[in-house]
Amino acid sequence: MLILSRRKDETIIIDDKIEISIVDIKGDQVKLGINAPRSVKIYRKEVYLEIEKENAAAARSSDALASLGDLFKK
Amino acid sequence: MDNDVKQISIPSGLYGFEGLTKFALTRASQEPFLLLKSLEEESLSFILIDPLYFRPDYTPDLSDEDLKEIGEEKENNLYALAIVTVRPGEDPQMTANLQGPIIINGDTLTARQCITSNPKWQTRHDILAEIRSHQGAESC
Repeated sequence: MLILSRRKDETIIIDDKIEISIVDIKGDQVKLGINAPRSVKIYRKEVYLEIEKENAAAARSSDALASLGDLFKK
Repeated sequence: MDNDVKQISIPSGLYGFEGLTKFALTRASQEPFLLLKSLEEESLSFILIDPLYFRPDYTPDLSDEDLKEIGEEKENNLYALAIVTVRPGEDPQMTANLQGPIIINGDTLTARQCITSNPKWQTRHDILAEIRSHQGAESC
């Protein structure tokens, strides 16, 4: 992993088109400003992990289909 | 979509199941569910539901990149389906993932699991609770 040190208001540029700036630093929280083309998708990593986790749970529950009919009648 | 088995290609795979790209989509024996079965990993299948069944207001926002992968958007050729998770037990939970819907292009039969950026849509929507609250809203 590439590690760079940056101070508040400093920026890095990725691939000539994605700009990430340090907007603010408070305690252990860093506020990032991101300028990128619309086609670049930006999400918190937790979102990916959460969807992965939910997919895994869904894959385990496909056997439960037989009980779904009953659930609906309640 | 009709009753036939549709072969669906998901080039990027589903999150956590990236290597698997070929699936069969069929109606499940229980309405209103569908089944997405992997054609490469026999034991793998997902229960799906049309989100509009319990959230008539569901409109996922899709990026241009998402659409690039599944083919050109034309009028009424895109379908959103949500993956259902059932957690059995004394108080069984049946939730649908509206944050990561599977978007299918009906013309190309190519799909992608997209991520919506609208925080309103989460990974665990309680299907029965939302049906009840929607019915409540209608009778007001």
